[in-house]
Amino acid sequence: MTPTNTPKPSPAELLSDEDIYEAMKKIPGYLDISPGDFKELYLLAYQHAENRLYNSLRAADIMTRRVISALPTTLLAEAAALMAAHHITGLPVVREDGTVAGILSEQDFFRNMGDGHHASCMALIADSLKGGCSALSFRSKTVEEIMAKPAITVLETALLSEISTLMREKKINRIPVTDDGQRLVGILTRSDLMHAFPERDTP
Amino acid sequence: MNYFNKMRGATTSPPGVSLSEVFWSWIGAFFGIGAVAFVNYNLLSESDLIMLIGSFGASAVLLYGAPKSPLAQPRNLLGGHVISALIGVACYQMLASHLWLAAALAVATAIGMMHLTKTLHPPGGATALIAVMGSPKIYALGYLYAIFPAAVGACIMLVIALLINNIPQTRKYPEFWW
Repeated sequence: MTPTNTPKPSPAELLSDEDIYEAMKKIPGYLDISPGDFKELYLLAYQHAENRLYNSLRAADIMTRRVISALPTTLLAEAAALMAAHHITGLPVVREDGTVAGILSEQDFFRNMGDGHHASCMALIADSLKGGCSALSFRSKTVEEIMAKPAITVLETALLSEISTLMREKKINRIPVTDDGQRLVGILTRSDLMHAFPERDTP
Repeated sequence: MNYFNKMRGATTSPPGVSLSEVFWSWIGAFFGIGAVAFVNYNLLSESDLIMLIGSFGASAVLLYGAPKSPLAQPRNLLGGHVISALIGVACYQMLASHLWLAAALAVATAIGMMHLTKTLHPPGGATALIAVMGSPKIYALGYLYAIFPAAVGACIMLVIALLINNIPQTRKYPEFWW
């Protein structure tokens, strides 16, 4: 769960009347505008620029290019260790030829542990405390047995606004980015989108 | 409450200008009005034509005192004076028997038309009003008033603005032509 963070003030909102007044003093000649009107104008222009960028930036512009990934045949134990080591909660599963086979997330582990009905970390802890480790059933399994497939992917040319909508609709937190040959070229997460546009309720 | 709150004002007055700006405003206005007044008093004194009208004093404030202002650009200067002059003359000729109504209608309509044509130039309001308040000479001009003095006088002031406002490094004119 992402913590509910208070919205950061945008650079435009940080602009004080004094900043504007001092800036106006630097321009020789009489400026036929009041500092208040200028600020309003600046805020609107800033908003417009942000919308323009949001509607023109593409996946390739902000995606993470060095992606931690697993093979379909990777053992779950190895995949879990990989995710733990890199502090990530999911990774794309990539075939030998670089195409995306599926995606593996914490949720897939939870869902497939023990009797197969667990959905949360706490449920697993409760189960494990009753006796036996729920993870033992994974010992000989490989990634492709529990991964979500086919993975929802986007092209590197997809617009961020489209991706944001897709993530919201499909309730997913990360999305592999591919070239037109379905080969993995990067990954985008909700937090990537949120960092790019902190003022929006993304996604 | 909001209605009365709006009357308190919301922001500060823009900063004042440097002494060199004051100097160049003075020079521009001196030569701009000087040129128009010279034509009026020395070249046209024997004729029925006039060149100088009160609204040019207001144009001088914009052209030489606030040359960056959108209100001071060539489109606004020429369009504002000519359109307002036509409206002023029309209002006078239609309503000469009710001068108060002609005056109100002339200025209000001039503002409306300047808005619609993107030529808002405050002195245009005075140009329309002068056509109604007139003088025997101005009444005699009829619609010619829109050319002499409005258009030609504004053109002379525009030429002076182009020549003088581009001398100091800190000034350039116009911001846009049309």
